[in-house]
Amino acid sequence: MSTETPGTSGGPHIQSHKLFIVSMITGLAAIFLQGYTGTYVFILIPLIWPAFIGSANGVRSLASYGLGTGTSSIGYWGTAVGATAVYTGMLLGMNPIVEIAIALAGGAITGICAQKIIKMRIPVMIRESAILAASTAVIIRFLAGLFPEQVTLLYPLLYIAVTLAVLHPYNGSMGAGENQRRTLWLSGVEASMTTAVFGLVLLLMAPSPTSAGIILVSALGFAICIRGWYRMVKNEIYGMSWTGFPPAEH
Amino acid sequence: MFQILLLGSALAGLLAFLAGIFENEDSDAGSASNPNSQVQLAPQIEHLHRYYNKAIAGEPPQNALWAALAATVAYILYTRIGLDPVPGVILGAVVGALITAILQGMYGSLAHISRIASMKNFKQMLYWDCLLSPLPLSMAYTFLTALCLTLLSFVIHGLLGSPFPVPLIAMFLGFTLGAIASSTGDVHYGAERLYQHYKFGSGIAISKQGDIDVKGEYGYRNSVDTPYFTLRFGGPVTGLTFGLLIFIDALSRISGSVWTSVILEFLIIALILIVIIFLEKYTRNRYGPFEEGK
Amino acid sequence: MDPVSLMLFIIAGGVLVGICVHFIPASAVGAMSASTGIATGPSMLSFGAGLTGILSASFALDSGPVAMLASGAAGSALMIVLTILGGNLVNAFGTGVPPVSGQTASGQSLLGSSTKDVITGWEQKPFVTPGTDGHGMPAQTAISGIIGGILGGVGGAMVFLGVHFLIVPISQETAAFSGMVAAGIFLINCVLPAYTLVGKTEGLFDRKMLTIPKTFLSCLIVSTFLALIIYSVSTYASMGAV
Repeated sequence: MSTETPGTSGGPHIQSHKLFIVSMITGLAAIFLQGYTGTYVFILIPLIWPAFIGSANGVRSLASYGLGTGTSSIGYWGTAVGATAVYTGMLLGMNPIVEIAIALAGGAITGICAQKIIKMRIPVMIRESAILAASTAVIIRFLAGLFPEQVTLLYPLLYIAVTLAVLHPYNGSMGAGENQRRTLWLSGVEASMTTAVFGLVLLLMAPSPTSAGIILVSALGFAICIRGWYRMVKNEIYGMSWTGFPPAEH
Repeated sequence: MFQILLLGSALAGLLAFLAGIFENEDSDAGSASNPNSQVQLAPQIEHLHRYYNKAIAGEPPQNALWAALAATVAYILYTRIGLDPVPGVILGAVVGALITAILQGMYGSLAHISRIASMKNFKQMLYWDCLLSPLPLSMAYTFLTALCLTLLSFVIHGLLGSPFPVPLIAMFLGFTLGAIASSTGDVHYGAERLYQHYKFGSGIAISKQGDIDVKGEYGYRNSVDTPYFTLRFGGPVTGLTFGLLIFIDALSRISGSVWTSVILEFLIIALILIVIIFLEKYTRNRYGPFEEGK
Repeated sequence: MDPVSLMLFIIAGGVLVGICVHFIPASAVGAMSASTGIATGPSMLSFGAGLTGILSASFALDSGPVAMLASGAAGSALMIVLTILGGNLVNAFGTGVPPVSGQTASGQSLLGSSTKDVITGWEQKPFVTPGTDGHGMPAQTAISGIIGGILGGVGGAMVFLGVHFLIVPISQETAAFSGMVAAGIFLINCVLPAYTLVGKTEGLFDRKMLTIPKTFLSCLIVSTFLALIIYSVSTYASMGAV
């Protein structure tokens, strides 16, 4: 992590592999418990948020090196690996672990190509692309499992909504004073926004207590995360005012 | 069949033209896409500004999300309500576009606040009115973009007969429109509007980048002023490009034969290439070479 | 067609997608008229063009493979040429600069020390704004962009065709699935060359054309991996059905 910009009140740095292990455990638990919770599947929603945070952290570690193609491309590329693996696997009704392993391998292979053949000189390239692909695969697998039918219709939305939720936290906080904690709080905000959107789509598709529960749980998460994020913003920002002009320039 | 294809092509061209204009204005009102780097750079060279810094993502992915979300909601509503196709689709598209506009507003304000917070070292303040006055404008443009793209996807699926489902077409069109808008209309914003104090008729040298205009026609500039300027040229050109693309592509297929369509399209490509070369000659003669030492 | 050749279609399509990115002139600072090329990132632009190609190809799904590939190529090339026209219009009348190739003007392109446009033979050097790297899309980059569009459209259509006919026996909603997966494979392959281009290329006569072998190899490896997975899923499923 040589090019990390020191945050103003960043606190200790969270290592990406630890975040990855946590998000894999909670994410896989959420996917496997989906079949047993029935109507109460919405209590599993918080278990999938760590995967959003882990992949946002992956985007952050990669993009802070300066890729030359923008932050968006790393986000939609990583999600494309995860989404392609999951969609192909779901065709067969494959075991989720196999799908996620395929995504992990796909991410690692693309990372190896970028690192060894294209010679990008980013030390974390292979690890972070594998993490990004696997975490997005977990998210997409879980979200797709929420829907009873007609999932093919939702493939584009699943792909692109997860992409934005994953790449936006770093892209939205970019700047000299960016730090990991604020980016990850923002990632939590956007994770709950994304699950709320899918709750809404489920509500329109098949109105049930489940979908209302998803929206409620997401709103709760949103409230918690936005408070944490806004507290950090208030600490770190230069100043806030309702209106005004910048001080004279010269 | 012929009549339906003709109607489909005309409708598709119209909707694509409108979507192009609205999309470009949405990105300009939020200084999104590539010119965003200039707004981002400005505080570092002491140009404190009052622009809305809506850095959601690159233009193609963000547009793809707006279009895909609106189209998915519209399709689900349309199939569930059981209205006649035309009112059903329009109602669904309006609801979908509303949800999309709200999501865009949330993403945009989060990005603006978080980016300003990252600029502490350069003494950039967060002025709430700079966020709150362009926000409804940008959301309204997103609403219109999502609405047009959703209706366009239904037209391509229903009237023109693409085998892809509506949400997938919407995602494709969102990506394509984003790519077109960020490469045509944004030049008008990035190279002219942000640098109006430089003489007309030159590109922006790398050494001058970040030296943007922070003052407008009167007082400090706000992002609401931007569409006032870009709507006069950048927006319509974006609309023209995307509208022509959809319209030519649809119209070339009207005979029903694939090969006729391919030959027609390549003929049109050759024609456009000639136009491009004539345009190049025209500008070279008209503007002339740069003089030494300027 | 038999599954193995369909798998080869996916691999070849993926590689073509990677190569097409090198041909399409694109540059992010083009948005400030500070550099030659269409004013957006190379991967985004080729993805936008490729999707138009896949959408065009989808209309020709029942007309055989050759018609599909031709249709995809026409769609993508049309998108690129219209974007070049739009970009040049804005450069000409919005910013007031003539299209000119910066790299050719500085004598660093593949053409050697010549500072003239290959197609039109017009001198490039005096028309570059001092301090910039050219602006707009002159004739030689427009031609290169059309070639790139054709390659990208053919590549996207090949991936779509391969995925579609591999899963026809095992799925109901084939078009939806194969369109999405073709887009995914397109995305993965068009970001890799963007890394070698570092956000900027002038197309056919840019020195970065020399990095094509790297792109070729990496796209070959990645597409082979993805194609093998889709192939094995398809074979496994049809065996299970028997």
